[in-house]
Amino acid sequence: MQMFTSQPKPTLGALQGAMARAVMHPLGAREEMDLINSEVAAAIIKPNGRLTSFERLQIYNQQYWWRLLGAAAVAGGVAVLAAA
Amino acid sequence: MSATRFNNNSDYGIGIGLRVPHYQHILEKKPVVDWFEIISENYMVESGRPLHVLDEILEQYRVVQHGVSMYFGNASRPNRAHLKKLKALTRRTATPWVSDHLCWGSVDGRYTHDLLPMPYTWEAVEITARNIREVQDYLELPIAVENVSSYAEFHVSDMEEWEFLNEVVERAECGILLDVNNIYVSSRNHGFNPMTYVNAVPPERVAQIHVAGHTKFERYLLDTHDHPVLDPVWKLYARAIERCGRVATLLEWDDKIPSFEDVHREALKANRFLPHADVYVAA
Repeated sequence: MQMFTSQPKPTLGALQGAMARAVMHPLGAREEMDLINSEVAAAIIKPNGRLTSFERLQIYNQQYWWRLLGAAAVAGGVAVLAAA
Repeated sequence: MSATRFNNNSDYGIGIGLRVPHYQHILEKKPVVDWFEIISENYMVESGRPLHVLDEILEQYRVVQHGVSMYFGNASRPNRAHLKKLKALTRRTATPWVSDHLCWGSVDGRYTHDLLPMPYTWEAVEITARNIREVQDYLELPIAVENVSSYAEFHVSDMEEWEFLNEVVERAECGILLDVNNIYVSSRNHGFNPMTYVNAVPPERVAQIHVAGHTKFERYLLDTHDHPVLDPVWKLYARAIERCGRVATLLEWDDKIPSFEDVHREALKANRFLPHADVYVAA
């Protein structure tokens, strides 16, 4: 992610591509964001007084996977019911 | 003042989101509800129960379409196959306007199924406005863009969120779906005054307002739509109504959904703020 740490600004397409890859990257241990996303988080996301760049990006990464796993669980339940 | 070109000169009051757990109650009891908002994507299908229920609802009620996957802020252009299905649905529902979010969410055909925040840059303003204009022209209906809740801000941003919204809607010549819960959630997550946001929005462009509940975590708020509307959000709603007049108002409740009566009762709390609204008064 070196391209985001120095000028010029990334294009909208480049920024969205980097963030989308991070958001859809599988979660790591204890359902926390994989440390592999540390660099991209620091490069594109501003920290604030309560959350680091990593923690702010992690919210989106976790929401993506929890939503996906939730949908899969519902679909699995439906499949089980249909087979019963 | 609720009737504007941005909501097709319609005059809608307080509505609620049409959700599956309420289907049976609505079809059997036919409760008095001013209008329902549907999630467009749930009905963009060829056949099946969702369309059957929708057709029955349309016989009794007014319906407005709200989307979750147009992704106006994507760097790429709008998906034409999606637009074709959406337009077919608009013909079926006769929705007076169509809303979706000021966000992005997919790259190269891979969908995050989330409403991801925009970097507030001039490049993003131009691209987003271009995409909205393209959709508006294709659908031949007014578009209202909704501000989203967000949990992250970008280093590259050149302006505040409300400035970005205003620049986009002016260039796109579209309306605003003002979500006052989203403003509140983002204000707590990013440390701005939510009233500054509400006061900055051009009232003549507000086609609709959303209210909803959210969840408080230790270090941030999450937009969960699984609680009643909290008092600070109602305060923002009151101010929005002061500025915009009697705008079509919709309560969103999408998780841990209580009975139809409870959801409708919560929505009708908005009436407390409407009697004082008059012709809109700009700040």
